[in-house]
Amino acid sequence: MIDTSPATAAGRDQSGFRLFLGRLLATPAGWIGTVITALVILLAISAPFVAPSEPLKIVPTDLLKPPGSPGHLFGADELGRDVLSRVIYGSRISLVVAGLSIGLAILTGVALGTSAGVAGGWWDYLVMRLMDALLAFPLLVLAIAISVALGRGVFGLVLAIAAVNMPVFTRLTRAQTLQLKERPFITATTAMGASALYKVWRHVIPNLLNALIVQATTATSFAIIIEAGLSFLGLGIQAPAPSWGVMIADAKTYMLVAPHLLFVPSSALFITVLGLNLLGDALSDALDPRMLEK
Amino acid sequence: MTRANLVRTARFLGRRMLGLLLVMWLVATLVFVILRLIPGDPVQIISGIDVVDPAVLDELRAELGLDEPLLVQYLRWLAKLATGDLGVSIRSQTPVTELIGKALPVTLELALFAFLIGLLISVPAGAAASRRKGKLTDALITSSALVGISLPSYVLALVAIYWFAVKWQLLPSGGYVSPTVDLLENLRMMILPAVTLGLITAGTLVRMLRRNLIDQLGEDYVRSARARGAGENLVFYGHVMRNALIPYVTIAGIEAGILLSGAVITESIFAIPGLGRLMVTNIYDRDYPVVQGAVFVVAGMYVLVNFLVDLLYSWLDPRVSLS
Repeated sequence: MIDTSPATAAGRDQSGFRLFLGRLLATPAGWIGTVITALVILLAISAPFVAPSEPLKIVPTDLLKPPGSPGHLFGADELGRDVLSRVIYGSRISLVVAGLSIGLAILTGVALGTSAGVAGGWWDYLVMRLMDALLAFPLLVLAIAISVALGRGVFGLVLAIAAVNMPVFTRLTRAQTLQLKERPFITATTAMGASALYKVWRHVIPNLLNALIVQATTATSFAIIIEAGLSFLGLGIQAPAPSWGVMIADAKTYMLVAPHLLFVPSSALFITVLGLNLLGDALSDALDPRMLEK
Repeated sequence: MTRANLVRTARFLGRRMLGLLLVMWLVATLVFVILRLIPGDPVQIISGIDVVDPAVLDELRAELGLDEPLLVQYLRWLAKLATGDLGVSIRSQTPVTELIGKALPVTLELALFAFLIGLLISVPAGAAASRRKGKLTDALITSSALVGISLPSYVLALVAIYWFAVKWQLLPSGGYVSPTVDLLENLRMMILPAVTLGLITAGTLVRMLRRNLIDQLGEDYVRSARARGAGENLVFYGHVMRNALIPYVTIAGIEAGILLSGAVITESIFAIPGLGRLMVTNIYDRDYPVVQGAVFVVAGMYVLVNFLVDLLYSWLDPRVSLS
């Protein structure tokens, strides 16, 4: 007899999670990606405690101090602000904007994708053509136009990045929904009279989770690049806020005399994106059902 | 091709063309709506802040058709689009087709160089990595590809400018000269932006090709060919590579479409007067006809490239049916 008691189910969940974690951390790429991502998140959360000084504190005597100067491990910028502190606080902006925009892209993408997949017909056709139009729209131009239209700042930035990421989630969700629709357990629930909403909530979304997690990780790294890119162009976060994009844009002027102003925020951006990409690759392998069967 | 197949293909193509038209109409509508949401009066921006006489501004607005209801402006834009007329720039009074005609070859040149660099790196690198899977060569190539996709274009561009233009003074830091004026200078100016974009494109393509090649190397037909005594090179280049290149063509086509869309940030950093820069500077100026026209052309190219890639895919792989 099959034991379906909660205790056993919980134990199975736990061992499943342990198996997944084992797979995720089995390769160097997996643990490096996990460690980098965890560190960046930790730094962002604990910024007020770990940053050596206030990110906006101007010290007129420390202008353009090179790395290794007293009190400035990674140097100081053109206003004498501590670069390390600004980079640490910058991680907050990157993660918050990327997190909110990808969250929004997932919510709208899943709603549109599942409804298109379940309903089919003209709704499916219309939604997919709209997504095609959004994908054909030059990505950064779309982001720039939305960001300018809604005012330069976090709100405009989040909506802009969500809009350019939404089509991918919509397509992914629709494709998975169409596949699942034909599976026997879904047709069985249909025969038992389950509503479309119930099927989506109870069966489709849980089955989508793996693919969504992998896509969300990659999309987050992409969102961080766009956030910094729009801020770099002066269309996102505005100075003096310590966004990595703003810092890189400011560094252009002082590139020759203070190259650390370019290299430090660029490295922070690169390492964060690299960590997320490594994690995305490892998650894709660890959550791949074909790999789990092996 | 049988008659039934021909009918099916024609029906498929007809449906696709209808879909493309719908997508282009949605793009046209989307760009119109988004631009109208941007705060700021184009007439005031063009006239400058010193022109405050409302009568002068109203006259200019009427002249440009900006005093009409939005729906009328929208329908007029669609009607003109249908005849191939993209309108006239509010700021310079130059036909938009002329402005696009100047910017398009620049973007095409940059996209072509970047794409070639991407192809020239990705095919040998993908092949080498898959044939030495798990070895040092593979680790080096996959790590480099990962670095390629993790480096934002603006970071790579600025780092390249720092070393090659500022520090070593080997190449110009930006600008553009037409190849018809000075071919050598044109090439010198194209190196840094093309390599910047090409390396990022290569990163995506290498990862894709390596994965496809490794998948193909594990297939039964490879084992059979080897068992029949076929040489490693024949198996790899004669069978494996050919099959792995089919999905590669799709991704390469998508990458080409993205490059054609105009590398907005790269063009801005290197002061290249391509389509990306044309669109962005005119968003700032609220020059609606220029942005609308450029976006429409860029989206059209993207949609067309994707359509051609789909056709090419079904031609390369007979198992993929057009219908």
